[in-house]
Amino acid sequence: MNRLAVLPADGKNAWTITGLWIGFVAVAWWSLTIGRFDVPLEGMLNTLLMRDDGLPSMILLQVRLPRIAACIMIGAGLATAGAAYQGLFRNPMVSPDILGASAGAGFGAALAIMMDWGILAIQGASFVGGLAAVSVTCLIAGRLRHSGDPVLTLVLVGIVVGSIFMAMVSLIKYFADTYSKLPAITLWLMGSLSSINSRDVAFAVIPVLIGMVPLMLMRWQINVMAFGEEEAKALGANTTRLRWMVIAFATLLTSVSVAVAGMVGWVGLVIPHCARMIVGPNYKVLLPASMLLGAIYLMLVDDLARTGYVVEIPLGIVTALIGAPFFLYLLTRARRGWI
Amino acid sequence: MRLKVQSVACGYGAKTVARGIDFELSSGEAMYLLGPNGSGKTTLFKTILGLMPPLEGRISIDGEDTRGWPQRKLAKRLAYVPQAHTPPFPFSVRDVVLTARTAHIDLFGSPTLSDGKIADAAMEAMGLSALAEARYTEISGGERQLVLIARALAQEADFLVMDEPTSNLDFGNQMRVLRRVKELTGRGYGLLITTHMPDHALSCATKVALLRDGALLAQGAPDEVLTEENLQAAYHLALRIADVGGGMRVCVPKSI
Repeated sequence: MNRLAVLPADGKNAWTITGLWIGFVAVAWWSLTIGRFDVPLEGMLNTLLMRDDGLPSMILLQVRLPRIAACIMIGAGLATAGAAYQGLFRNPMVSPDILGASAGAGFGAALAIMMDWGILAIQGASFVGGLAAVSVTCLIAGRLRHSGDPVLTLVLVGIVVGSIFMAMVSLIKYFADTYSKLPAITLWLMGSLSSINSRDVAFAVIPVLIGMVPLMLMRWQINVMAFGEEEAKALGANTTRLRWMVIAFATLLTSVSVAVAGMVGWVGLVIPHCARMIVGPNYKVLLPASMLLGAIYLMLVDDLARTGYVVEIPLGIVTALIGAPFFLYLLTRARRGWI
Repeated sequence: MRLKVQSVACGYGAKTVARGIDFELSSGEAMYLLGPNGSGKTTLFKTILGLMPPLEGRISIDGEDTRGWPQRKLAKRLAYVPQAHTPPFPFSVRDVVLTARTAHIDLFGSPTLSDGKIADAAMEAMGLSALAEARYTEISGGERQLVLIARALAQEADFLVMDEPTSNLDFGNQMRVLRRVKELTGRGYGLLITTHMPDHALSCATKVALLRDGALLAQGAPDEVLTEENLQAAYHLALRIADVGGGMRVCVPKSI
């Protein structure tokens, strides 16, 4: 069955998605070419054709490629998670940061780093922390359902839960070994990809796929959640199952990002907004568009972070410096509600 | 096809909001449910829609108890038409109508061409074809209400449950919605409609139930139920039912 040609508007959107894929490949290629070490085109082709070319090949395969792969996974993961959260909570203001997922995942990962656990345990602790934070946020906000605006309640509770977890992160930093652990945790919290290697990437691929694939498969159903719990139920949706699945997978994506790159803020809030401006709110197109746009955005931000200044700037600082003002701009120009 | 509500009590936990509710609704009937604010209409609706379990009694469709039915199964028989609302995202009218297909689509699926055709037919039946690509958040309240009715049609259920479909609409739009309600009754849907307007029941209902303080005051044919005495008892208001000719009757207060 042709699932692409369902809506008349799908024709236009199919082109947009194709364009985003082309942009994605182009940006990935371009990101490979730029950097402090100038790799000539010949070197790149040699590397691609598996003809070992010494230093250029090493830089491409062991430094730039893992880094670009990490950018793709994190950017795509955070943007997809953000878009999914927004649909689920019927609120374009929520994001992995605001629900406390990032802070919870950050706490889990910081704990694992302090304890000197392995990379798998860091990811696991990060996921447990993220899921715990989001669950606490949802449960408390649910309890406060009758105290006015539910959206505002959710955002406020998320901020409070987030700061509790950030306080616990500070506690860990305070108790961490000043010479070995503290710098590691601090640098990692700023959001950095400078020490990424192919092993980190390999460990992240599977959880990213576990989070991404089901969300992509059930993306159309997220639409129905935007009409509220009762209406979605009356339309025949199994809202309980849908809600927990979306929360689990979106939180997994957030946690993997945090485990790999630390706190990379604003991507999950700003990118879904941009995607919605381009393709509209239907999750059938919005989710793939968010994924591609998130990957493109983070690759570009990372290009800036590693080549923009004499020393490398942590990624999280750049995303906040770009994302926050851009979000303010979006707020001021939102005329048609939240698009 | 028959929806049967038998001695149902409903409410939240220990708090019973309505009890002893008994009625039947068959295909091709429009049953209007009237009652003052807080009489238990909304709770009864939620119970019938399977959003909360009945505290007592039995709700059945064609003789089968709906208790414990998954929402998906219920949604194929019973469609809900909420009051016109504004979702947080500017979906197109067509996207809104397509959400009706949720009960017919797997968790990992999305609407197919045939789902699209069903949605298009539903929009056409409500005279909305021209608005298909408009943003649902930007059309008028009356149009939004018609979109929600179109969505219920696309759900392909036998019964439509409408929660005050004319509230918040201007006079012209109210009449346009009522005309559609009559049409749908003629097409064989079973309609259960709440309203605060006795006039609407007078002109569209084939059956009326009058709810007061969580109990049925009267039910039956409109002529038997919508009497001055019954309405006065329900609303604590001196009122009059007048024939204004052309087969139209209205309900007005004796004085204000």
